[in-house]
Amino acid sequence: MVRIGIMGLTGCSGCQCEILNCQEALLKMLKRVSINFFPLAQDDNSLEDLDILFVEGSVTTEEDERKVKKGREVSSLLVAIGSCACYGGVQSQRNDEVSLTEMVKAVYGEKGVPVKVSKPRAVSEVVEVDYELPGCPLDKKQFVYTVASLLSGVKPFFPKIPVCHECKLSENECLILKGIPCQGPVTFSGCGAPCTSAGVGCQGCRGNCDFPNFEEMVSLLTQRGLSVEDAVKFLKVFRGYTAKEIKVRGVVDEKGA
Amino acid sequence: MDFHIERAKVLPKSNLAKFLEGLKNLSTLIAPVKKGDKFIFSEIEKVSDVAVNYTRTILPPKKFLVPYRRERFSYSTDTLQFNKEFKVRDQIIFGVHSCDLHGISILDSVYLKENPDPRYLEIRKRTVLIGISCMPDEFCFCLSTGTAFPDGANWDLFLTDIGADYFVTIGSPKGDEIVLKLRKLFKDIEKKDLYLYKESTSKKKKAFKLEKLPDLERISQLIELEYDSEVWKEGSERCLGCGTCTNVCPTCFCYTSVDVPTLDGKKVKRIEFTTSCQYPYYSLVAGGHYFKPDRASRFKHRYYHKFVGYPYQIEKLGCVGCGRCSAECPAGISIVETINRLRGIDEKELREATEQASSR
Ligand code: SF4
Ligand code: SF4
Ligand code: SF4
Ligand code: SF4
Repeated sequence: MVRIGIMGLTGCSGCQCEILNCQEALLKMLKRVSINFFPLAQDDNSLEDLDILFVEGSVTTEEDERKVKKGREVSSLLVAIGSCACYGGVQSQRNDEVSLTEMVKAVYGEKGVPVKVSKPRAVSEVVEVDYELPGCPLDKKQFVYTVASLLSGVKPFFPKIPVCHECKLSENECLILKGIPCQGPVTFSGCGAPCTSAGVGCQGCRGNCDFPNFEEMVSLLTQRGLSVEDAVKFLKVFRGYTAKEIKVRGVVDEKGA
Repeated sequence: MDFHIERAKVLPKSNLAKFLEGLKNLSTLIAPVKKGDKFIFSEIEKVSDVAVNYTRTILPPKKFLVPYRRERFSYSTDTLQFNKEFKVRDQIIFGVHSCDLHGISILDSVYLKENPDPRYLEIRKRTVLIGISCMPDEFCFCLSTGTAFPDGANWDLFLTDIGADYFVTIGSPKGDEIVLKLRKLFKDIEKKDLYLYKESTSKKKKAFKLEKLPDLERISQLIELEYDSEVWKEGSERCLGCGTCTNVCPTCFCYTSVDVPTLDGKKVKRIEFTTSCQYPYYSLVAGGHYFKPDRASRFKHRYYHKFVGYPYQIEKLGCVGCGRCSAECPAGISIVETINRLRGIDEKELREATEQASSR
């Protein structure tokens, strides 16, 4: 039996719920794995001696940091799941703009929080990560494929190509060409382009594709009515620490733009 | 053109629905239908859905010959026994424009010339292609690529709009058979039909704005000579590397293949899926080396393959002038503009000159 753990840090638990939604696949999986740690779904949990640990959420509290470090120590493989774990999540989109004190004050008021917190970080900013399955939430098919690959001892293969790939092969009308803001050209595909297929611009929830051309992306968004500032904010929502790759044509390293 | 005039017929437009119904009874019918403001090739359930007056579909009919995702084989991890689950059906693809028929003829050369691909061959044998005439829009440049009219013999029937009727040319015995089966719907050609048919050719030609068409004379040489041109770098600054241009192209054929194990680990499927030379991983090899490390080299690669690679491989250009790559590019990059810039033609000047000419 392969020993698996599923851990939640600071996040909405949506990714863990998605795993529970893989009903049929879970039943098949259970013939080969034992789930030793999954506090969201079961009572008896032991965070010891794991083969694969899936981690959801960003590292935001002292407790998060302690848990994920322990998890790393006891597991041979660590897979970050969801955009919080992979990039820091929506909660980290203003990390470079305001201080921690300002953040805490804005959300919790003068009383502050009773636990020790830091700015939200991606799991890879704290411990070594073997694989990342981004998305808000993660894609169920990718989760199942990853488990199947790891159980067979092969690396899962996720080419970091743009969402446009899946969007175009789904024969959607291009939203950018219709004047609707869409982050597809700079976003890591794998979701099957559900948003653009429903007529909603890609929100970038899966993070950066390989070598994204942010200069052109920002320029296309501004041609479609967004200010440069809003275009950059739009791109930053889900990208967490990887938003530092966003560059704007003609603007040299200006904070927030 | 490759047909005997006695082997052409006339199909009154009022019989089109019955003709489509007849095709549908013969086998799976695929034809263009409307999707939003655009068109796509799709399997037809109601023949009233078929759109005959369309300019271009988002994806070419290629998707019914080379699916964008296909299983090559599967194998058992215990016995290493290979299993090919390859199902082919009879299909009629109706409403294919001339450029796309030429696109399929290019795929035929690629897949069948040397080491024929048995899967492609099987699908191709069981596919009937019925073309239809069209009028160009601002993205079309098939007149430059020599693909504005069907030739060769890779199609079965071709319908040319001559007003109240379609002039139907028969390109193959399979086409002949269909006409024979549905003969009640056709009329014999009269002299005036021939006249109208000939006229339709010049009508299409005249619909092109000649000054907007790219000059493809010795294009292979041009691309080679301009290998270090700044034009590539300029274009690539705007290029998002999104792969749309190759994904919508009727002649692109690149794919990636990956082995996908089942959860019980007993079976592995080899899946092939379409990819693009515009993606960085396309040129990534073991050890992390990229053969095409920057956007300019990837951007150039597509042009190089279309205009130098294909002629070298199959003695035809790899572009049929369908205009899809320009019409669908989110960044608005136009293949014609890139070629014109390589030729040293200033687009702005050209546009001003055309505007002046048309306002006169
Ligand atoms: S709608 Fe968005 S994801 Fe789809 S092709 Fe256009 S830019 Fe790409
Ligand atoms: S469609 Fe346009 S932006 Fe996308 S890869 Fe092709 S040239 Fe570049
Ligand atoms: S390169 Fe562009 S215009 Fe030429 S055949 Fe391909 S999609 Fe059509
Ligand atoms: S190399 Fe690029 S242009 Fe050539 S067939 Fe492949 S995807 Fe198309």
